[in-house]
Amino acid sequence: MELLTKLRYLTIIRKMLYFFSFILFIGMLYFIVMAFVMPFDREIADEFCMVPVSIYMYPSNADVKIGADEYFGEAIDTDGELVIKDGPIFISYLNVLIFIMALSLILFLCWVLIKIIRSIEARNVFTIENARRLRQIAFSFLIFIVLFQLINIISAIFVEVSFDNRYPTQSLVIEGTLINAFEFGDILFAVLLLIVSEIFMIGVKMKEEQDLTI
Amino acid sequence: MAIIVNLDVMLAKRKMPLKELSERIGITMANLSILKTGKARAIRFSTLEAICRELECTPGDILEYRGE
Repeated sequence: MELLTKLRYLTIIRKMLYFFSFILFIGMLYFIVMAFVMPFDREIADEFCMVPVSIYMYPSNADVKIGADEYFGEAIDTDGELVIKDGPIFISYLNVLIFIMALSLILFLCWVLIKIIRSIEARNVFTIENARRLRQIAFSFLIFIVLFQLINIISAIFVEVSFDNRYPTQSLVIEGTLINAFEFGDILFAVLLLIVSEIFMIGVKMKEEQDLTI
Repeated sequence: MAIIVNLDVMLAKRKMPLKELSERIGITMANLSILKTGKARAIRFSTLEAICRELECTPGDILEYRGE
């Protein structure tokens, strides 16, 4: 392929990816250590007791519906800090699991991207190997995002949140239902990756056809 | 594939080695051997024309359809 000329930025990116994967590996070790420390240190467990709440998008005293019916329609004073009480410890573990999964996904991405960039530098992109790699990336993203949303919903159900201990409730919901804890945009992105990987596979087949045309 | 390539038969008849044919028509040995072994998916008319010109034959002498 004589078409690709300016590839130096790709080489620089590839070298940076080596560095990133090292840092990500250290990060993973940190979270694994946290997972072991958590049962013994309530503060750290509370730090990881995270819940998806999009409250920061709403001004204070907006018409906010909170899970329980007693607060329905009442003007909520959202001044003050969002307090998450002692959530069950398994929520903290789920969240640490999310961190570890996210880091390992990005680590996997780094390695696969390094291999793909290498193949571009070798001027041999449309191989079945690369098509397989893109498909792996797309599926691992999809699986991660689905698991992430599931854990979001589970956290929203099991953790009690309150504003400075006012309006304590099992699930803080803004303008709607529990489904707010579920973000569709991320899944669309994973679907986009899947589609692109299929298109790439078609490209590979086309190149194969072209190569075997005498 | 259902199309059989009888290139080696024609090469034997004209007593031409594969290497010489590849040099005459400007196709690499690798590509010609892909054609000979039946791995090719498609052939350009220009290539077919060049082969027939050098081997002084017609496409039917080189390509044969054997339906399954």
